[in-house]
Amino acid sequence: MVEQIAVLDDSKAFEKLFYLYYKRLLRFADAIVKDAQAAEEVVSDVFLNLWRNRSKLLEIENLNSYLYVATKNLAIRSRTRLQNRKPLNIEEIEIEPEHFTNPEEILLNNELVKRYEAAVSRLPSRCQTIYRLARQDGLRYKEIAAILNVSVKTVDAQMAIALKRITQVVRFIYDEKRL
Amino acid sequence: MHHARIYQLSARKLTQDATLEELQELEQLLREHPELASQLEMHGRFFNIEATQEAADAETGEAWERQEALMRARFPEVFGNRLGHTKKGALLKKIGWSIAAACMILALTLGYFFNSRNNAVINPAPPTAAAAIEATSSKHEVTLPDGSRAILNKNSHLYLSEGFGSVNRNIRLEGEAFFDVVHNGQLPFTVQAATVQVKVLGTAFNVRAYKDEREVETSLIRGAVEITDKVNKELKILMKPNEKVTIQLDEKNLPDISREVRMLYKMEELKKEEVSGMISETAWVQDKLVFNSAPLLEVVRKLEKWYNVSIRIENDALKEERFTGVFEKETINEALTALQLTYPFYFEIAPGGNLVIIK
Repeated sequence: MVEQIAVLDDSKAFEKLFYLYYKRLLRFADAIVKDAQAAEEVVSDVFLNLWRNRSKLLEIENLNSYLYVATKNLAIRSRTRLQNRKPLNIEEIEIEPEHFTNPEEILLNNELVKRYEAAVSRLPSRCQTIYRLARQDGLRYKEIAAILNVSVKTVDAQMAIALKRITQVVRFIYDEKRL
Repeated sequence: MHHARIYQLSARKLTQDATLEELQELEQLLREHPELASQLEMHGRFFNIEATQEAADAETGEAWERQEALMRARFPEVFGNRLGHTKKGALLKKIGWSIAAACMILALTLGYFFNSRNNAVINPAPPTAAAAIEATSSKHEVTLPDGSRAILNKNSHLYLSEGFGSVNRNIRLEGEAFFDVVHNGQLPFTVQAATVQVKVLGTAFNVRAYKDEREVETSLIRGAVEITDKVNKELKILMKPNEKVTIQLDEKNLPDISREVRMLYKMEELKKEEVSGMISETAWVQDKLVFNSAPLLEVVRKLEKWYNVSIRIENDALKEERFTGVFEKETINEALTALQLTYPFYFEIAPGGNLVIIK
């Protein structure tokens, strides 16, 4: 797809890429600017720039990291301009939860899913951001580290913390059901 | 103390950041700590629930319409030609056609270019000694010029094409190898095994393609690979982790009818042996031979390669029986004795030890 855009100026491939990333990048932009309209403008600009710089696309090593970092940079700029805020601290990024598919299909009832989501939202903010990028955006450790400008070691440690806390809640649900 | 390690490894597994060794370590730890296994399994289900699609798609569709309008305004030369309802439709269509024609020519040229490059790799031109890696009597681990890791099984050869690591990452394989590939968006990593091509998108996988087996078997541990076959041009499989694809090679002189019914390929899930938690397809990497309810024919085929002996089955009824076992340093005598426990049979090893007869 990237080759088609970079070499053949393929607008269809560009559209596909848009569909693939729009929702996720919008969520990430919104987590930083915290303004729906400003977030939409940020993502729109990311794609405009992507097309403008398409000839250099093949030099990008990891498209995931590239798009998220581009989104982050534009979002930070928009945030500074709009709200005149100080430099962004990771702790301030708040990613919205996703809506799940009909839970019956996957043998988990609604109540359980709600409790799980509550457990995720109680994680410390940095830990939560890392977990959500892994869970909702399907990103790898290396990508998350590049996007948030932290080390892979940090991502590794925070993911382990997230898992420990969430599984403790899951166990609690289990024990409760048994009573 | 173990718990911390279990959380760490399970988390890595979720994002496919765990190596094969780590996955095996995790299996082992979870067997020792069953109290965590069920919770983590439950969490895995939560982690992998898909988000609601319909609403998101509609929203993205609207966003694309706005984006497309923007693109048309800024880059009319490309996005303009898709405007069917404009008043200048005829003119734009003309421009559109010439752009399309130009694209076609470019695409054809590129196609030619890529094909001629591929041929250079596919043609089994005698590879230079520097670019050939072989393992004969024991397995052999190498780090390739691009940093990727390959572990070669016995009696296997890897041929690196010219310019490997700088202008391409093409490899030809005879025999069996496990690959752990370093990601590089510009240079796809491809493995040519007989007529089958495995194109890698950053990943760990195993390819088995011994000449005498008439099939090419690919097992994916993590990441993604794409499989194509020079003979069956319509074949294109995108594999997901934990899948195994077996492609039967085309027999040249098959009558037409059997050609038609010939299975294109077979896709299975990789299964772990219950006790050891090992995947039989990649166990050889750790000097282990694993059978998980495997038919005797397959067991014999693998034992022959493992122990470098010939095995003759003189009792046809046995051929379909299934056997399970994990072997590491056992002699062939010990291995066969252990297999007798899963299903009784008689065997004798001929003097000299190179021929085994199973009755």
